[in-house]
Order: sequence, then structure tokens, then C-alpha cells
Amino acid sequence: MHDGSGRIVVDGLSKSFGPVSAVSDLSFTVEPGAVTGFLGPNGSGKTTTLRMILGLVRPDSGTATVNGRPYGRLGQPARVVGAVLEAQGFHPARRARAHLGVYAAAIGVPAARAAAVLELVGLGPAADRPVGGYSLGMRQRLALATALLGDPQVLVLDEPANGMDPEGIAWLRTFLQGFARSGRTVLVSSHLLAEIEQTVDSVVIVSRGAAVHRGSLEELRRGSSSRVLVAPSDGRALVSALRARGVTDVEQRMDGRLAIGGHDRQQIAHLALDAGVALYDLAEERVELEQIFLQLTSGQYGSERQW
Amino acid sequence: MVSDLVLSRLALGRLVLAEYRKIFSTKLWWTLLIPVAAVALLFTLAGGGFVGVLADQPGGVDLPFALVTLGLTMGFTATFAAIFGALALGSENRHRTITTTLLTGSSRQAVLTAKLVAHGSVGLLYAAVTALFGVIGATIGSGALPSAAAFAAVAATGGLAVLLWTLLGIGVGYLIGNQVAAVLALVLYSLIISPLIGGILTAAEIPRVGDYLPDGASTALTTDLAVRELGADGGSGRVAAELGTDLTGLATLPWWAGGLLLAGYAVLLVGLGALADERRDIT
Repeated sequence: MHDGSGRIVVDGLSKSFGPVSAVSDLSFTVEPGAVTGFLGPNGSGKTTTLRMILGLVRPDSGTATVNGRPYGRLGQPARVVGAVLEAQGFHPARRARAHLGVYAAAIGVPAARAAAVLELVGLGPAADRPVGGYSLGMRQRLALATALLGDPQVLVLDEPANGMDPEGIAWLRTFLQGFARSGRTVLVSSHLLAEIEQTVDSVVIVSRGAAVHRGSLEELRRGSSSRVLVAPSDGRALVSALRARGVTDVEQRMDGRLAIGGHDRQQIAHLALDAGVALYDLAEERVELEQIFLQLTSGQYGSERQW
Repeated sequence: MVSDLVLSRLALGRLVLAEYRKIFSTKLWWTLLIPVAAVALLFTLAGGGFVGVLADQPGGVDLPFALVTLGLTMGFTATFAAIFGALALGSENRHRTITTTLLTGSSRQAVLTAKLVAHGSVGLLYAAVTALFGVIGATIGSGALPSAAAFAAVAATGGLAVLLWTLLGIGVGYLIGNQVAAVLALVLYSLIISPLIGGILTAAEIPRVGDYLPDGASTALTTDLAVRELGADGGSGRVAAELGTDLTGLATLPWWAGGLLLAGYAVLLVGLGALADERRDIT
């Protein structure tokens, strides 16, 4: 039926809703054995892309495959892909156990599996309550339980942390990493980098429906110029020594330290030594990923697009 | 190829079971069944009472009029079954469970087929309950009891009408998508649009056209056999048959033609619904 690789391949996907282009010529690959973050501001086309991967939205052009096949041709899709989507609903009067019973029947797994996933996500005690009384966080857990019913090889999650309490988010992080470590695939979207920074092994960053970065967060960090922070005994002397060497990217920071660009720590230390300036502190400035993320995705709201 | 076929049948069986679990884990199916049972009982009771009055007239008739009321009641049940059918997808759209349903189904056509099977069979349950309460009403009410064979025949044609309306309702639900709009469309058609068209056509002296619309075809299917049964014993029976025709105000088509026509409407609407479904983005 399919190649069993657990790989998600998105190739040249485009989708417009009326005059609004949601996704344009987007391509990326999600590999198994890792948690891949799918990052972008709200309205950048993340949800549309995920729904195209899952066969819920028909692309205008391009293809999306899981295990080498479009979702609609996986045969028993829920045994390959589990999905937690935003705006995925529950009948309010249906109890969690009955909800899972419906989809256990559709997938062809026994009722015991439904009980097992309920315990797994920590909803065991609430299993016989109508879902209408559930909090947002509980609904997210139930959605995850539903996604796990078919023991899938691939998990796709759209903003799963929405509405979850910090404890739930921490639990989800551990769960997803364990899931990926067992050789399976996780694609998780978020509009907040900080939210998934500690969870993901690599990221696909989208802005305005197109990919602006694919790779690890480390690569992202390295790609931006870093600066060296120093606390000199004599700031003026150090600055003039730096100028004499042609180093002009120097900034006086609020905390009294100097931020120097274009050179690494060793070079700066040698320069200071030559100039006879003592350094009380010498550190690499940790570039905030959030800033890089914002730079990469800026312009989204400056455009004529409405969202 | 053979194993593919077996697999797809198994897959369909799983989806049908899932649909049954959806249906029977919420209240809708029995809240719609309450008016169905109540109306079946009251109509056949009243039908019997009406015949009782007729039988008391000089040269009066004592006829199995309950058959005609049962046929008409089946038409009423059909409206509720159609609403139930329309909510098959409407409710899933309303509560956004359709996403999970499609994610766990092998294809959209498979999900639609499973809904046709599961909801169609619940439609037949509605018809069976109608027949049961019809028997109770006819037995309690005065008037001659119909023969078991005649009763079975009217119940069977009525049941077919209810089934076809359930499928037609599913088609309307798929075509329109929104549950409120789909139910409103069905109710407006049966309560206002259909009688209005009938009235206009009758006024314009082209009454036969109404017989070919879904309601007309359906009434032919549900009441033709009952009216024929009334006319079967000649003499006073024919009088009553004319009375029956007047009361039902239709049935110029034979039951089988009405059935074929209604089946055609059901196929058309399910087909259009399936086309709309294939093209629909679930956002």
C-alpha cells in the first residue's frame, strides 16, 4: 500500500481561498525519528498546509504525501497518521469513551484500545463525562487520544498547546519526544517559537504561505551574526583600540558592557590584552531565536493582506 | 483484486458500525421517533373513528380505512426520517466532528456510503415503529380491520418511501452542508413549497405535474395500495375509494411508478451531494 517510511513530503503546494493566497509553492520534507516544528505567525498558511497533507483541503497545485502516498490513498489512514487539529470538534453530549468508541470502530481497533489511550492522556477519570463539560486542555488531550487510537506512525498536531496548562504542555513535550525517539514522525505547528523551542529537533518556518527556513534551530542561530559582550576595565581605551584595528561595530549596552560584532571571543581577548585593558567579563551574546523568527516572518502584517 | 474487494467491504462495515455508534450515543434518533410514534397512533385512531362515523350513516360503509391513514402517516414519518438523514452530515459539520470522521475513513465516498447504510436502516426502524403504532391505533379505533396481507403491503410501500426519504435527506444534507439550512429546506419543501406548487398547478388546471414532484411521487407510493384496497370490494367500497382519493388529494400514479420516481429523486440528490462533498474543503 505505502512505503512505510514515515516521511511527509510536501512538494510545491499552493492554495488560494478566493482572492486570498494561503499557501504558495511550499515544499519541505519531514523526516521520521525527530520532532519537526512548523512555525509561522497566525495566518501564514500552517493550518491550510496541514489540512492539505491530511486530504481535508484540496490543493490548487502541488502534492503532499505521507509514506509516498496522498492521504486519500493510504487505505487505512488513521493507522498511518494521527492528527490533532484546531477546530476539531466533539459532540457535546457524547461521553469521551463513546467518542473514542465511534472512531475505534471506524479504524477497527478494539474498545480496550480506547480505554488505553484515555489512560495514556490522563483522561481516565473523566471518561464517562459528556465532552461538553470539558475544558479546552481536556479537549486537546481527548483529540490526542483520538489521534493515537490507530497507533499511527506519524503524528500531525496543529497548535496542540493551545488551552493546555503548563503541566500539560510539559507532559506533551515529553510525550512527543518519546514518540519521535521510537523512530516515528512528529510534525507540530505553532505560532510561538518559545512554545516549541525546547521540543523540536528541526523547524520549517513559513511566512505568507512560503517556507523561509528549513533545518535545525542551531543552523538558524548560527546563520545570524553573533556578538561578543565584554565588561572592560577601561571602555574608552578598548573602543579606541578597536577603532584602530578597524572594528566599528561596537555598541554601549545599558548594563555597561560593550557589544562587539564581527569577531569571536578569542580575537577580542587578544585585542584587549594588546591595548592593556582588563576584561572582567567576556561572553558570546546569545541571540534570541524569537528575534530571528520575527525578522524572518516580518512583513506579514505590513502587507496588503488582511490576515 | 478479490482481497481488495473484501478489504473495502470490511472497511465499509467498520464505518457503518462507527455511524451506528454516533447515532445511538446521542438523543436525536429517539427525539425524532417520539412524534413519529405519537402521530402514527393518533392518525390511525382518528382514521378508525372517522370510519365509525361513516358506518353509522344510512347505507354506511364499514371499511379498512386505517390503511389509508397508515399510508398518510408513513408520509409524515418520511419527513422526520428525511430530517434525520439531513442531520447525518449536518450535525457533523455543526460540531466539527466531520474532520475526525474523514481522517478515520478510507475515503469520502466510503463515509457517505456508510451514512446511507446506517441512517437508511434507522429510517426503516422509523417505518417499523410507524407500522406498529398504526396497528395499535387501528385495533383500538373502531372500523373494520384490514387484512394482514393488505396491511403488510401498505407498510412495505410506506417503509420504502420512508427509506427513500431518509436517503434523499442525506443527499440534501450533503448538498447544503449547514444543518439548519438543510433541515429548513426539507421542512419548507414539505410544509409550504410542495402544497403551494400543488395549489398553483391545480388552479392552473395542470394538476398532474404535482404528481411527479417528490411529494406527489411519495404519496402515490404510500397510499396507492391502500386506496386500491378500499375500492377492491366494489359497490360502497368504490365510493369510499373515491373518498380516499379525495382525502389524499392525489395518487394518480400507481405505487410502483411513484416509488421509481422517488428513488430517482433520492439518487439525484445523493449524487449531487456526493459531488459537492468531493469538492468541499474542510477548513
